[in-house]
Amino acid sequence: MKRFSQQFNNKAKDITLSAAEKRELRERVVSYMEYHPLPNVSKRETAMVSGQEEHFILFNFNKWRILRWSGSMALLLVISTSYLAEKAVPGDVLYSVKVGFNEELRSTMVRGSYEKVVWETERLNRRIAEARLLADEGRLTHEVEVGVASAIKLHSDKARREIENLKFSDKDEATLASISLTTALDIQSASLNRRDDNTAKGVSQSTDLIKDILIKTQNAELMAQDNELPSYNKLIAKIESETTRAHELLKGVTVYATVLEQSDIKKRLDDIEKRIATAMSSFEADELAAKQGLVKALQQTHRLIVFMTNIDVRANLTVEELVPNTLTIEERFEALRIRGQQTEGMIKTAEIAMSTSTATSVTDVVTEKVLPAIENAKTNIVDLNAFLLNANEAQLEAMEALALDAYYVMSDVIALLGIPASEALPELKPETPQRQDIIRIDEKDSTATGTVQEV
Amino acid sequence: MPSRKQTSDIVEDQEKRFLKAFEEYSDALFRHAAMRISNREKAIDAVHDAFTKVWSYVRQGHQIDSFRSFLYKVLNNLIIDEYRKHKESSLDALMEIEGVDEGSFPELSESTVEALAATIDGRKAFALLRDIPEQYQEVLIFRFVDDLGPKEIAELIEESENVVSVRIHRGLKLLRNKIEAGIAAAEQRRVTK
Repeated sequence: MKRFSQQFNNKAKDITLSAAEKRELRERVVSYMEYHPLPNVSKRETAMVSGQEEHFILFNFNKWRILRWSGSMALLLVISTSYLAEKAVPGDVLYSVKVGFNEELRSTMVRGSYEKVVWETERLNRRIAEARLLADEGRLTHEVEVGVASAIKLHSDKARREIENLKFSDKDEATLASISLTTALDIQSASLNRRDDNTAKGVSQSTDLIKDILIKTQNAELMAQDNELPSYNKLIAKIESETTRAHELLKGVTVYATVLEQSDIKKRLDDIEKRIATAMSSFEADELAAKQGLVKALQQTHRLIVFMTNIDVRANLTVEELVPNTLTIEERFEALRIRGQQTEGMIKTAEIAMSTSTATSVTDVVTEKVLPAIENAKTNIVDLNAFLLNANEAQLEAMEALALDAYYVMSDVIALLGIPASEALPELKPETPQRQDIIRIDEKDSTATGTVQEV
Repeated sequence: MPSRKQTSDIVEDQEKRFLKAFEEYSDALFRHAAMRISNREKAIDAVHDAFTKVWSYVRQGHQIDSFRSFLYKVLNNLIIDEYRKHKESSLDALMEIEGVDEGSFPELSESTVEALAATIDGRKAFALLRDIPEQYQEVLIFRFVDDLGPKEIAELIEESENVVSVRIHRGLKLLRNKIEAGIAAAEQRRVTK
């Protein structure tokens, strides 16, 4: 084979390119290379022609990459602007983005009339929060206040329109939405009133125009409300979802709320649960009362939710003001016992004052009025003490009224005798943890007479 | 990402490697093409086209490890295209005529081919090469002119090594038959005179 290969190969080697052919072929190939240079060479040569080679940096300009990059940057810009705008208040550059873009975008995504009412109520809350913030900073000009007031009217009108629409499709939902709106208006109105009361004049601006529009809106909503209550099942379903939300929020507030605040909220939630249980148990006997009880429970749940979610409301109102404590039977008996002791203390003080009438210069006219009142109060206290020994729940409400009557009578007697309230009331030691609350409620109830301010 | 300097170096390196490949393989490629096409000008054009196609491939950003085998592969495809323009015969047609399938051959060893080649005059075989079918010319040129092994040839023509060996064996046999037929014819002419 080697011989064959050599012979075959030797003959083949006779076939070769001449020098001229090879040179010409090389020139053709090199010429092709020059006209079809490698991609990076063409860029480099362009740079060299301009005489500024050192200033050129080679980039691989891929239009899709540029499009993707610019698209990502635009998206990032929109998201960051939208995020920053959420903290804007009237007068800020980004406020129009917040109201005109963020909120409108959310509005388009809200489905269902009830959800729209909730969203418009949320927008209304936002406007009030913005106004409150500006007022605290002294930046609430008349123009801004007018703008906020018109925005409140706009959102409440929108909510009302949705409620009207809802009436055609689901009357129960419409009533529930209306309850939600009026509760929100009520809370905001109370919060603004309390804020203006608490704030020293001159330090912060008032929000009278906003309060006026809130009251008008609230009245209009109450006028528009039908007297009909939602169906029992709808009420139960709504309460179920709202109380669940409230319990979830309670878990969340552990971060910023004190133990006492948490305990207060939990107490209110327990009260609401009891109210619901009572309403449910009375459904068979009295459907209307059951529904009214459930509506009350729903309103209280809404108020608690607002308290837990709205920092401004929390700053101006206490949970007691929003959702007054509901006393248990035991607590009511305890409150009754305390009220009896207070009244007895006032009777003793008044009798001592009467026995030393020379020192207190009590006139005959006064004596004629005071003595029967004291006797009447003493009779009531005797009845009260007898009742407390038997502890009959059925007569509890009547005895509460009796004790309250004796208490008011003796308060007036003390005032007539010109005895300071601090001397008239006995020092009482609380026996239960709830007693402080009970005393506070008494104070609230008694402010009309102005006799127990120092308790 | 390579720096500007690195990019420039890479470009220059590719140009140098390509021109070096031209210097090293252009003669062999031309020889191969000329033997198969039988037209000098067309052979030069085929070699030119092979180089420009490979250069275009490099321009697209592909890396070529071995210019030699790649150039042969491209040139072979160009030659096949050239054949298709002028000839309709194919190996399948040839096999049909001979009534045999390549796959029916047992695997041929190099020694078998060697034994057959030892019986053939290389110079006479070279002269008769164009008288045998293209498929045999192709493998014989790759094997005995370009000095490629059966495995390399198999990769270039995209056939199995066994098929390549069979074709070499058959090509040699055909050449030997033609040589013997030529000798017999010459003897006949001499006797007739």
